[in-house]
Amino acid sequence: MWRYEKRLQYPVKITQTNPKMAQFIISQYGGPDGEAAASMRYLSQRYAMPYEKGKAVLNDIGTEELAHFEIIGAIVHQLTRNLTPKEIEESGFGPYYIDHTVGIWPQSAGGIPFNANQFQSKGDPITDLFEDMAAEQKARSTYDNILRMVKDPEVCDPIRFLREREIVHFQRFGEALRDVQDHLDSRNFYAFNPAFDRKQESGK
Amino acid sequence: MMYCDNELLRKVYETGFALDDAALYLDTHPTDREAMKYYQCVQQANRDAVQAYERVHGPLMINRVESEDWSWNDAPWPWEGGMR
Repeated sequence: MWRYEKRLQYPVKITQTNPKMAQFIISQYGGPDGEAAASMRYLSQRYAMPYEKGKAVLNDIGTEELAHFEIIGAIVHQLTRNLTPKEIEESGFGPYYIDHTVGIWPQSAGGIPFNANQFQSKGDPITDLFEDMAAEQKARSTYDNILRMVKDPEVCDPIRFLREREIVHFQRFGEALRDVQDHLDSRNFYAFNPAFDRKQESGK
Repeated sequence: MMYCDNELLRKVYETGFALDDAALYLDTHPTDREAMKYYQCVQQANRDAVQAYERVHGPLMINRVESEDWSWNDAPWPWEGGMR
């Protein structure tokens, strides 16, 4: 179970609003490679993970992604505080504003709503961990794209932190994948699915 | 009827839920002194229950690992049904 800690994992204090940047950054809230999909992906995959290191990594990174989801929400919120209708119209934030005012809603930069089809939980530890490593790289690319657009150092700073975490998570998932493969037959990692074909599993 | 074979864990479940429930009530009734007294009582009970459980079974939260080695991965995970 979870209990809330009343702080962000990394501080966010943005003094200059910027609805255009908010529209870009919201993609990491509810977009295809965003933090909501990351958290749901890892926390959902835990149940099919038979090995201890993999379970811990999925549990703890899935938890950290929830904290990242909150950081992105805080950034978007602070970028859209106290906007005037004129600023909204001129920045291109109008379509979002019409549906959500300046409330925070999980969507991609292009306005596509959050959808569970943006991630997979395949019930196969190798497949899931490869997906997870790809997901971390896709999120890293998205943060790189965001950083090319953002000029405000108060926005860049937490975005850089989140980008760095993608790289660390990629590393940890790689180690978890290696650990899964170490439990399997090195001549054929795909001889059986250790999350399903339990009887054929050798060793642990 | 709650199924929980582990007496130490049962206390964590009970005091943890009492804490969550009291906290929600206080969110909407922040000046209720009586409720605040109840919260303080279950807060202490929850602290004691968590400490007693962790002494035997290891950390419940990732910031409470007290062992020399990393014991976070050792105990069964809650979704496996090992914790009841």
